[in-house]
Amino acid sequence: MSTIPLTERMHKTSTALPGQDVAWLQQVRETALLTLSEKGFPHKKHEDWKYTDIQPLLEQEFALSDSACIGLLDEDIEHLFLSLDEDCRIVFVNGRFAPQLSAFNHDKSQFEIINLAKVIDTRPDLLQPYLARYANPAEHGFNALNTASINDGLYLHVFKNVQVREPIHVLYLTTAVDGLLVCPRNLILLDNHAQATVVEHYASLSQTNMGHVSMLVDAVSETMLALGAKLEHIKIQQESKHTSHIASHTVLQQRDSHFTSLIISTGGKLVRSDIHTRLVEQGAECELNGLYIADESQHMDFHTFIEHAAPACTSRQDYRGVLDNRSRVVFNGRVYVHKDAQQSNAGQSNNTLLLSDKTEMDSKPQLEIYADDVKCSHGATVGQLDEDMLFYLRSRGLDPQTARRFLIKGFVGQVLQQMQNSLLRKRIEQWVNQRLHLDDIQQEALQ
Amino acid sequence: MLKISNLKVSVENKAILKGINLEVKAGEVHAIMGPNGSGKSTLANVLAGRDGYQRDDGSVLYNGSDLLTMPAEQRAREGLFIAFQYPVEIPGVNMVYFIKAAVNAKRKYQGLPEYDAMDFLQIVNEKAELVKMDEKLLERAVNEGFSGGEKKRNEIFQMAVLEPRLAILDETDSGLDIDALKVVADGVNALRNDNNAIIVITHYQRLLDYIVPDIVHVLSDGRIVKSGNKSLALELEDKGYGWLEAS
Ligand SMILES: Nc1ncnc2c1ncn2[C@@H]1O[C@H](COP(=O)(O)OP(=O)(O)OP(=O)(O)O)[C@@H](O)[C@H]1O
Ligand SMILES: [Mg+2]
Repeated sequence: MSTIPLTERMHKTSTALPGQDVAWLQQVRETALLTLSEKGFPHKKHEDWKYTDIQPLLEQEFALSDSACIGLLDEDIEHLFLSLDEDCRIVFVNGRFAPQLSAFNHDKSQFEIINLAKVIDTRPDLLQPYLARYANPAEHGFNALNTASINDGLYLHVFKNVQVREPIHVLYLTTAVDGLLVCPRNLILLDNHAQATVVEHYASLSQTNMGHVSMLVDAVSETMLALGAKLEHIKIQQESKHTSHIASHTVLQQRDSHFTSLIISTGGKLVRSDIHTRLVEQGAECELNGLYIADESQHMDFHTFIEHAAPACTSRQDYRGVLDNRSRVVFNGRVYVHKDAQQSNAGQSNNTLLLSDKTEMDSKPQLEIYADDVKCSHGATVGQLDEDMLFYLRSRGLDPQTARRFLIKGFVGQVLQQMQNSLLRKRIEQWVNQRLHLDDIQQEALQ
Repeated sequence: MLKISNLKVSVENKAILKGINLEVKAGEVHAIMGPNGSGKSTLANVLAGRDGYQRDDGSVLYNGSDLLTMPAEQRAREGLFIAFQYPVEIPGVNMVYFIKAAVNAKRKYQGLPEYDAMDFLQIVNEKAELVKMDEKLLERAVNEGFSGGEKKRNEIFQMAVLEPRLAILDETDSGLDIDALKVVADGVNALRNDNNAIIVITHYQRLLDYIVPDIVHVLSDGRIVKSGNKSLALELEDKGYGWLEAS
């Protein structure tokens, strides 16, 4: 694996990419590459990157993995499963599809799930109307880099009127490989009135003792929700603190579709997560929720962008998180209401708990409203645990430490409890509580 | 059980309690009445151990120990309970988990075995029944979205579960309808015995028809200006506080 500094990478494409004979795909890659070499990577002078300095990342050398995954077994990654008998799990190791770790026990008449590289090799026409039609490589260099390097990822197509009950687990694992670049590319298509829960999950194996290992995950996801379709999309980002993670998700929502996103970020060194939903037809609804848990010197930057492009659409946002040590988090919530998007309803809230006085939180709502009949609200709080609440718990006999932990757990629990599937919710709560060192609070009172 | 001597407390350099003397013995019920802003809740908060109050003088002995140097949670574990005038809402913290942690913290402190799930469930059901608390409230976050009356009832429910030695009820009757008032009073009376004591802070004589006090005190401008038997409450209802302040 030969590594190249990111800044030089913009002049080269790897020859190992699938589908080099697919003209339209090559075109897509080349256009992205051109965009990248013209516009380069974002720097701090860009308003959208003001708080996030990627310069150190650009100086490092990265390359896509060219070897298939090593002998991992189910039992090595079991702790990352959503349940022990997952219906449908597609696993990628260092960016490459790992069939031996994946499981496809679902009802095949409900949906089709294939790794993207295989679709490119065998049925590229399936992709042509969608791939790179929603995400815009011009948005920023990482998006372009991903598009220029399209290789593997998720292809999911849920058929008309189907309600998929079990969560579909998309697991991206990285092992400790210095200079590893992973460019996951995900395409999620829901036909009319289809319903599904997708868990896009980023994790590392071997979190400790990795010395100076440095990795970059540059992910792009695109989603199309047709009439009345309903997607619950949960992204869990719990990579090691040696991994930088830059991702964007672009969603197109047709009439009466419903999109719920929950981004849970607990890992990574430098994390940037963009989500862009376009409500292009009447009655579409989206809820964008986020939970960030940062400590040490972690840096996380969340950008949401909701475009109300049609009348009578609703959007809600609840981003919240807990910051400790010297960590720093940015939330930029942008809502754009087009001139014709009358009766839009948009609500946004961002609440952050600071556990140390060396953390920094930058919260910025950005409302651009060009219609006159709209309901928009936003609110943000940043602060310590509430003294009155702490006192109330202590006055009932809880020691300050336990009282604090109850409050933190309660605070993060409010966003987690919005998950509909209770088994999935419990699993994710478990990870979050472990991350917050709250897993020993005895909470199984009635079980 | 409780002996308050010449207690002077200020908040942000403003004197609020100006020399309180009060002794409460096991088995007694005391009522404290007094005009708005006279310092009743301040007294309750100081006894509970809330931060932000400065003791300028005086002392509080609780079962022979110096109460004011104990951390709030220790006071609770030693059997002190305050039903707050304005219970705070705690989003995301489930009632049952919270109560269980509270009870077990106290039991552990007392050297008793912690309740297991079954014991605890039984106690919760029994006490919820006693104070006629809707069990659905127990599935919710602490006080979140509770009505005024539900919050008050929740305080009494917690009191019933924690079985305090000294309970201080700060205007628990305010905002309760007459049926709820009786239920709360029954709950309090069920707790009464020779080993514990209750201080009821109220503006209304009607509560004292149900929880009959041994002694009634009037707190005015940070001092107890009059103490008497139950008939004092009736007199206050009749005449207001003006005649006391004038004297
Ligand atoms: N944290 C505080 N900061 C400033 N002033 C305070 C504070 N707490 C209490 N006070 C003042 O102390 C006085 C006594 O308040 P307290 O709440 O004890 O009255 P109360 O007797 O309980 O009244 P009520 O019958 O209305 O409940 C009031 O004047 C109040 O404004
Ligand atoms: Mg008061």
